[in-house]
Amino acid sequence: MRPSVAIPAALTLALFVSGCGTANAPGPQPDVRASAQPETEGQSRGAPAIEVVDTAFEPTTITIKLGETVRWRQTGVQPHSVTASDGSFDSSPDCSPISTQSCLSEGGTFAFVPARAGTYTYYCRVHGLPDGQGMSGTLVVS
Amino acid sequence: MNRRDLIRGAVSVIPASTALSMLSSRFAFAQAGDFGSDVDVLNYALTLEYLEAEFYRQGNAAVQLSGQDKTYLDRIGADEASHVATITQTIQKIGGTPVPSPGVDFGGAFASRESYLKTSHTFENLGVQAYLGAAGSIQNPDILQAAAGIFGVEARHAAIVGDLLGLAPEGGVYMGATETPKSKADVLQAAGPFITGSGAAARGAAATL
Repeated sequence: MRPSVAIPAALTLALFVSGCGTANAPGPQPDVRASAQPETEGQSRGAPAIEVVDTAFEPTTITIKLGETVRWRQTGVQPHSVTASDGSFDSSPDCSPISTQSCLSEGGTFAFVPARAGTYTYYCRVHGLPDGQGMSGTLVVS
Repeated sequence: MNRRDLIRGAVSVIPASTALSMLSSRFAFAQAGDFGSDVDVLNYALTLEYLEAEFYRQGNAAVQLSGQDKTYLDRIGADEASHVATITQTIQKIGGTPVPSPGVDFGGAFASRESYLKTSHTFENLGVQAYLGAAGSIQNPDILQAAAGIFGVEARHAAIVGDLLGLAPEGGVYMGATETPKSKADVLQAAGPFITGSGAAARGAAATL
Protein backbone atom coordinates (compact mmCIF):
# COMPACT_ATOMS: atom_id res chain seq x y z
CA MET A 1 0.00 0.00 0.00
CA ARG A 2 1.48 3.31 -1.04
CA PRO A 3 1.36 6.46 0.97
CA SER A 4 -0.93 9.20 0.16
CA VAL A 5 0.55 12.56 -0.06
CA ALA A 6 -1.65 15.52 -0.62
CA ILE A 7 0.63 18.01 -2.30
CA PRO A 8 -1.06 20.63 -4.45
CA ALA A 9 0.14 20.84 -8.03
CA ALA A 10 1.60 24.30 -7.52
CA LEU A 11 3.50 23.10 -4.52
CA THR A 12 4.72 20.08 -6.41
CA LEU A 13 6.05 22.39 -9.08
CA ALA A 14 7.68 24.56 -6.47
CA LEU A 15 9.29 21.52 -4.98
CA PHE A 16 10.58 20.48 -8.37
CA VAL A 17 12.01 23.90 -8.99
CA SER A 18 13.54 24.27 -5.58
CA GLY A 19 14.80 20.70 -5.48
CA CYS A 20 14.34 20.70 -1.76
CA GLY A 21 14.22 16.93 -1.68
CA THR A 22 11.01 16.44 0.20
CA ALA A 23 9.01 13.31 -0.50
CA ASN A 24 7.74 12.66 -3.98
CA ALA A 25 4.02 12.65 -4.50
CA PRO A 26 3.12 8.96 -4.61
CA GLY A 27 -0.21 7.24 -5.10
CA PRO A 28 -3.26 7.85 -2.94
CA GLN A 29 -3.62 6.69 0.62
CA PRO A 30 -5.87 8.50 3.03
CA ASP A 31 -3.90 8.20 6.22
CA VAL A 32 -0.53 9.55 5.18
CA ARG A 33 0.57 13.13 4.68
CA ALA A 34 3.86 14.46 3.57
CA SER A 35 4.81 18.01 4.24
CA ALA A 36 6.30 19.94 1.41
CA GLN A 37 8.62 22.13 3.42
CA PRO A 38 10.45 21.72 6.67
CA GLU A 39 7.79 22.25 9.28
CA THR A 40 7.95 25.26 11.50
CA GLU A 41 8.35 24.86 15.21
CA GLY A 42 4.75 25.85 15.66
CA GLN A 43 3.48 23.29 13.21
CA SER A 44 5.32 20.41 14.77
CA ARG A 45 5.01 21.50 18.42
CA GLY A 46 3.70 18.63 20.49
CA ALA A 47 3.70 16.15 17.64
CA PRO A 48 5.76 13.02 18.16
CA ALA A 49 8.84 13.47 16.03
CA ILE A 50 11.58 11.21 14.77
CA GLU A 51 14.87 12.55 13.56
CA VAL A 52 16.33 11.05 10.39
CA VAL A 53 20.09 11.18 10.82
CA ASP A 54 23.00 9.56 8.98
CA THR A 55 22.25 6.62 9.25
CA ALA A 56 19.58 5.99 11.86
CA PHE A 57 16.14 6.94 13.02
CA GLU A 58 16.21 8.60 16.43
CA PRO A 59 14.59 7.42 18.53
CA THR A 60 14.63 3.97 17.01
CA THR A 61 11.27 3.16 18.58
CA ILE A 62 8.48 5.60 19.23
CA THR A 63 4.98 5.10 20.63
CA ILE A 64 2.04 7.28 19.71
CA LYS A 65 -1.69 7.13 20.26
CA LEU A 66 -4.12 6.29 17.50
CA GLY A 67 -5.16 9.52 15.86
CA GLU A 68 -1.87 11.27 16.47
CA THR A 69 0.44 12.35 13.69
CA VAL A 70 4.00 11.17 13.72
CA ARG A 71 6.57 13.24 11.91
CA TRP A 72 10.01 12.49 10.59
CA ARG A 73 12.44 15.31 10.04
CA GLN A 74 15.70 14.75 8.24
CA THR A 75 18.78 16.36 9.69
CA GLY A 76 21.25 14.03 8.02
CA VAL A 77 22.88 15.02 4.77
CA GLN A 78 22.64 11.67 3.00
CA PRO A 79 19.60 10.55 1.00
CA HIS A 80 17.06 8.60 3.02
CA SER A 81 13.49 7.39 2.97
CA VAL A 82 10.86 6.53 5.55
CA THR A 83 9.38 3.31 4.23
CA ALA A 84 7.04 0.94 6.05
CA SER A 85 8.05 -2.70 5.77
CA ASP A 86 4.45 -3.65 5.06
CA GLY A 87 3.91 -0.84 2.57
CA SER A 88 1.65 1.20 4.85
CA PHE A 89 3.59 4.37 4.15
CA ASP A 90 6.54 5.48 2.09
CA SER A 91 8.03 8.93 1.87
CA SER A 92 9.93 8.13 -1.32
CA PRO A 93 8.85 5.06 -3.29
CA ASP A 94 11.38 5.61 -6.06
CA CYS A 95 14.33 6.21 -3.76
CA SER A 96 17.16 3.69 -4.03
CA PRO A 97 20.93 3.59 -3.56
CA ILE A 98 21.43 4.22 -7.28
CA SER A 99 18.57 6.67 -7.73
CA THR A 100 18.53 9.18 -4.93
CA GLN A 101 16.84 12.15 -6.56
CA SER A 102 13.48 11.36 -5.02
CA CYS A 103 14.80 10.47 -1.59
CA LEU A 104 14.35 12.70 1.41
CA SER A 105 17.20 15.12 1.77
CA GLU A 106 18.39 17.43 4.52
CA GLY A 107 15.48 19.45 5.87
CA GLY A 108 12.87 17.16 4.34
CA THR A 109 9.94 16.03 6.41
CA PHE A 110 7.34 13.32 6.26
CA ALA A 111 4.21 12.76 8.29
CA PHE A 112 1.98 9.78 8.84
CA VAL A 113 -1.35 9.43 10.57
CA PRO A 114 -1.90 5.75 11.30
CA ALA A 115 -5.35 4.40 10.59
CA ARG A 116 -4.96 1.45 12.91
CA ALA A 117 -3.26 0.53 16.15
CA GLY A 118 -0.36 -1.85 16.03
CA THR A 119 3.34 -2.00 15.38
CA TYR A 120 4.82 -0.68 12.16
CA THR A 121 8.40 -1.41 11.27
CA TYR A 122 10.01 0.86 8.75
CA TYR A 123 13.36 1.35 7.08
CA CYS A 124 15.39 3.53 4.77
CA ARG A 125 15.44 2.43 1.13
CA VAL A 126 19.11 3.40 0.85
CA HIS A 127 20.56 2.18 4.13
CA GLY A 128 18.11 -0.38 5.49
CA LEU A 129 16.06 -3.44 4.65
CA PRO A 130 12.43 -4.36 5.34
CA ASP A 131 13.51 -7.08 7.73
CA GLY A 132 15.06 -4.55 10.10
CA GLN A 133 18.68 -4.76 9.00
CA GLY A 134 20.55 -1.50 8.78
CA MET A 135 18.74 1.80 9.13
CA SER A 136 15.32 0.93 10.47
CA GLY A 137 12.84 1.86 13.16
CA THR A 138 9.63 0.88 14.87
CA LEU A 139 6.43 2.87 15.28
CA VAL A 140 4.05 1.58 17.93
CA VAL A 141 0.49 2.86 17.79
CA SER A 142 -1.50 2.22 20.94
CA MET B 1 47.57 -16.68 4.99
CA ASN B 2 45.39 -18.34 7.58
CA ARG B 3 42.97 -16.77 10.05
CA ARG B 4 45.56 -16.62 12.81
CA ASP B 5 48.00 -14.79 10.54
CA LEU B 6 45.32 -12.34 9.61
CA ILE B 7 44.41 -11.62 13.20
CA ARG B 8 48.00 -11.26 14.25
CA GLY B 9 48.83 -9.13 11.27
CA ALA B 10 51.44 -10.74 9.09
CA VAL B 11 54.71 -8.84 8.96
CA SER B 12 57.70 -10.11 7.07
CA VAL B 13 60.95 -8.96 5.54
CA ILE B 14 60.67 -9.00 1.78
CA PRO B 15 63.80 -9.44 -0.34
CA ALA B 16 64.49 -6.62 -2.77
CA SER B 17 64.00 -8.83 -5.80
CA THR B 18 60.63 -9.96 -4.54
CA ALA B 19 59.67 -6.42 -3.66
CA LEU B 20 60.50 -5.35 -7.19
CA SER B 21 58.33 -8.01 -8.66
CA MET B 22 55.56 -7.12 -6.21
CA LEU B 23 55.81 -3.54 -7.26
CA SER B 24 54.98 -4.46 -10.81
CA SER B 25 51.93 -6.37 -9.67
CA ARG B 26 50.98 -3.94 -6.94
CA PHE B 27 47.92 -2.77 -8.74
CA ALA B 28 46.06 -6.02 -8.60
CA PHE B 29 42.81 -5.09 -10.17
CA ALA B 30 40.18 -7.67 -11.00
CA GLN B 31 41.27 -10.23 -13.52
CA ALA B 32 39.37 -10.89 -16.69
CA GLY B 33 36.57 -13.29 -15.87
CA ASP B 34 36.42 -12.43 -12.18
CA PHE B 35 33.03 -10.85 -12.61
CA GLY B 36 30.47 -11.56 -15.28
CA SER B 37 28.21 -8.67 -14.43
CA ASP B 38 27.60 -5.82 -12.03
CA VAL B 39 25.47 -8.18 -9.97
CA ASP B 40 28.49 -10.44 -9.58
CA VAL B 41 30.56 -7.53 -8.32
CA LEU B 42 27.82 -6.46 -5.95
CA ASN B 43 27.37 -9.97 -4.57
CA TYR B 44 31.11 -10.16 -4.03
CA ALA B 45 30.93 -6.89 -2.10
CA LEU B 46 27.82 -8.05 -0.26
CA THR B 47 29.59 -11.13 1.03
CA LEU B 48 32.40 -9.01 2.39
CA GLU B 49 29.91 -6.64 3.98
CA TYR B 50 28.09 -9.58 5.57
CA LEU B 51 31.39 -10.63 7.08
CA GLU B 52 32.11 -7.17 8.41
CA ALA B 53 28.61 -6.56 9.75
CA GLU B 54 28.59 -9.87 11.57
CA PHE B 55 32.11 -9.27 12.82
CA TYR B 56 31.07 -6.04 14.55
CA ARG B 57 27.77 -7.46 15.73
CA GLN B 58 29.60 -10.25 17.52
CA GLY B 59 32.59 -8.17 18.52
CA ASN B 60 30.66 -5.28 20.01
CA ALA B 61 28.72 -7.76 22.13
CA ALA B 62 31.76 -9.79 23.15
CA VAL B 63 34.39 -7.17 23.83
CA GLN B 64 33.94 -4.70 26.67
CA LEU B 65 34.78 -1.42 25.01
CA SER B 66 34.50 2.04 26.49
CA GLY B 67 34.97 5.66 25.57
CA GLN B 68 36.04 6.40 22.04
CA ASP B 69 36.54 2.73 21.29
CA LYS B 70 32.89 2.01 21.98
CA THR B 71 31.62 5.13 20.25
CA TYR B 72 33.49 4.38 17.06
CA LEU B 73 33.07 0.63 16.95
CA ASP B 74 29.33 0.90 17.57
CA ARG B 75 29.10 3.42 14.75
CA ILE B 76 31.26 1.36 12.41
CA GLY B 77 29.13 -1.70 13.09
CA ALA B 78 26.01 0.26 12.20
CA ASP B 79 27.67 1.45 9.00
CA GLU B 80 28.50 -2.08 7.95
CA ALA B 81 24.92 -3.18 8.54
CA SER B 82 23.88 -0.24 6.42
CA HIS B 83 26.26 -1.34 3.69
CA VAL B 84 24.64 -4.77 3.63
CA ALA B 85 21.30 -3.08 3.16
CA THR B 86 22.53 -0.67 0.52
CA ILE B 87 24.12 -3.38 -1.60
CA THR B 88 21.13 -5.69 -1.17
CA GLN B 89 18.80 -2.90 -2.28
CA THR B 90 21.03 -2.14 -5.24
CA ILE B 91 21.14 -5.75 -6.39
CA GLN B 92 17.38 -6.00 -6.15
CA LYS B 93 16.97 -2.68 -7.93
CA ILE B 94 18.83 -3.97 -10.98
CA GLY B 95 17.00 -7.29 -11.01
CA GLY B 96 19.61 -9.48 -9.37
CA THR B 97 19.40 -11.89 -6.47
CA PRO B 98 21.46 -11.09 -3.38
CA VAL B 99 23.54 -13.95 -2.07
CA PRO B 100 22.66 -15.19 1.41
CA SER B 101 24.88 -14.38 4.35
CA PRO B 102 27.65 -16.89 4.93
CA GLY B 103 28.46 -18.79 8.09
CA VAL B 104 31.39 -17.16 9.87
CA ASP B 105 33.96 -17.91 12.53
CA PHE B 106 36.22 -15.15 13.77
CA GLY B 107 38.38 -17.38 15.91
CA GLY B 108 40.15 -15.53 18.70
CA ALA B 109 39.48 -12.06 17.34
CA PHE B 110 37.38 -11.08 20.33
CA ALA B 111 39.83 -12.25 22.97
CA SER B 112 40.92 -8.71 23.78
CA ARG B 113 40.50 -5.10 22.76
CA GLU B 114 43.75 -5.24 20.86
CA SER B 115 42.92 -8.37 18.88
CA TYR B 116 39.46 -7.00 18.10
CA LEU B 117 40.79 -3.71 16.83
CA LYS B 118 43.63 -5.35 14.91
CA THR B 119 41.23 -7.66 13.14
CA SER B 120 38.92 -4.75 12.50
CA HIS B 121 41.79 -2.80 10.99
CA THR B 122 42.64 -5.72 8.74
CA PHE B 123 39.04 -6.20 7.65
CA GLU B 124 38.53 -2.54 6.88
CA ASN B 125 41.68 -2.35 4.81
CA LEU B 126 40.71 -5.56 3.05
CA GLY B 127 37.37 -3.98 2.21
CA VAL B 128 39.08 -0.92 0.80
CA GLN B 129 41.34 -3.05 -1.35
CA ALA B 130 38.51 -5.30 -2.50
CA TYR B 131 36.33 -2.38 -3.60
CA LEU B 132 39.22 -0.75 -5.41
CA GLY B 133 40.22 -4.02 -7.06
CA ALA B 134 36.71 -4.59 -8.38
CA ALA B 135 35.93 -1.00 -9.33
CA GLY B 136 37.18 -1.38 -12.87
CA SER B 137 34.74 -4.22 -13.49
CA ILE B 138 31.65 -2.17 -12.70
CA GLN B 139 29.80 -1.19 -15.86
CA ASN B 140 26.98 0.97 -14.52
CA PRO B 141 28.26 4.40 -13.46
CA ASP B 142 25.49 4.76 -10.86
CA ILE B 143 26.64 1.54 -9.24
CA LEU B 144 30.24 2.64 -9.45
CA GLN B 145 29.32 5.85 -7.66
CA ALA B 146 27.43 3.96 -4.97
CA ALA B 147 30.39 1.59 -4.53
CA ALA B 148 32.78 4.50 -4.31
CA GLY B 149 30.65 5.93 -1.54
CA ILE B 150 31.09 2.75 0.47
CA PHE B 151 34.78 2.46 -0.43
CA GLY B 152 35.42 5.88 1.10
CA VAL B 153 33.69 4.96 4.32
CA GLU B 154 35.68 1.74 4.62
CA ALA B 155 38.86 3.76 4.26
CA ARG B 156 37.76 6.13 7.00
CA HIS B 157 36.90 3.21 9.23
CA ALA B 158 40.38 1.79 8.70
CA ALA B 159 41.91 5.15 9.60
CA ILE B 160 39.83 5.52 12.74
CA VAL B 161 40.69 2.04 13.96
CA GLY B 162 44.33 2.55 13.07
CA ASP B 163 44.31 5.66 15.19
CA LEU B 164 42.60 3.87 18.08
CA LEU B 165 45.39 1.30 17.89
CA GLY B 166 47.98 4.04 18.06
CA LEU B 167 49.51 3.03 14.74
CA ALA B 168 51.92 5.19 12.78
CA PRO B 169 50.25 7.75 10.54
CA GLU B 170 51.45 6.36 7.24
CA GLY B 171 51.19 2.62 6.88
CA GLY B 172 48.89 2.42 9.87
CA VAL B 173 46.28 5.12 10.09
CA TYR B 174 46.37 5.50 6.34
CA MET B 175 48.17 3.52 3.72
CA GLY B 176 50.02 6.17 1.79
CA ALA B 177 49.16 8.60 -0.95
CA THR B 178 47.06 6.06 -2.81
CA GLU B 179 45.14 2.95 -1.83
CA THR B 180 46.29 -0.44 -3.10
CA PRO B 181 43.75 -2.71 -4.79
CA LYS B 182 43.48 -6.43 -4.19
CA SER B 183 42.38 -8.99 -6.74
CA LYS B 184 39.41 -11.21 -6.08
CA ALA B 185 41.75 -14.16 -5.58
CA ASP B 186 43.75 -12.31 -2.94
CA VAL B 187 40.62 -11.20 -1.15
CA LEU B 188 39.39 -14.78 -1.21
CA GLN B 189 42.61 -15.93 0.35
CA ALA B 190 42.34 -13.37 3.13
CA ALA B 191 38.62 -13.65 3.87
CA GLY B 192 38.11 -17.32 3.11
CA PRO B 193 39.30 -18.61 6.50
CA PHE B 194 36.50 -16.72 8.22
CA ILE B 195 33.77 -18.32 6.15
CA THR B 196 32.53 -21.54 7.63
CA GLY B 197 29.53 -23.78 7.94
CA SER B 198 27.41 -25.58 5.47
CA GLY B 199 24.09 -25.09 3.84
CA ALA B 200 22.80 -22.56 1.39
CA ALA B 201 24.33 -19.54 3.04
CA ALA B 202 27.86 -20.85 3.13
CA ARG B 203 27.57 -22.34 -0.33
CA GLY B 204 26.32 -19.03 -1.62
CA ALA B 205 29.23 -17.22 -0.09
CA ALA B 206 31.71 -19.69 -1.47
CA ALA B 207 30.20 -19.41 -4.90
CA THR B 208 30.35 -15.65 -4.68
CA LEU B 209 33.91 -15.47 -3.58
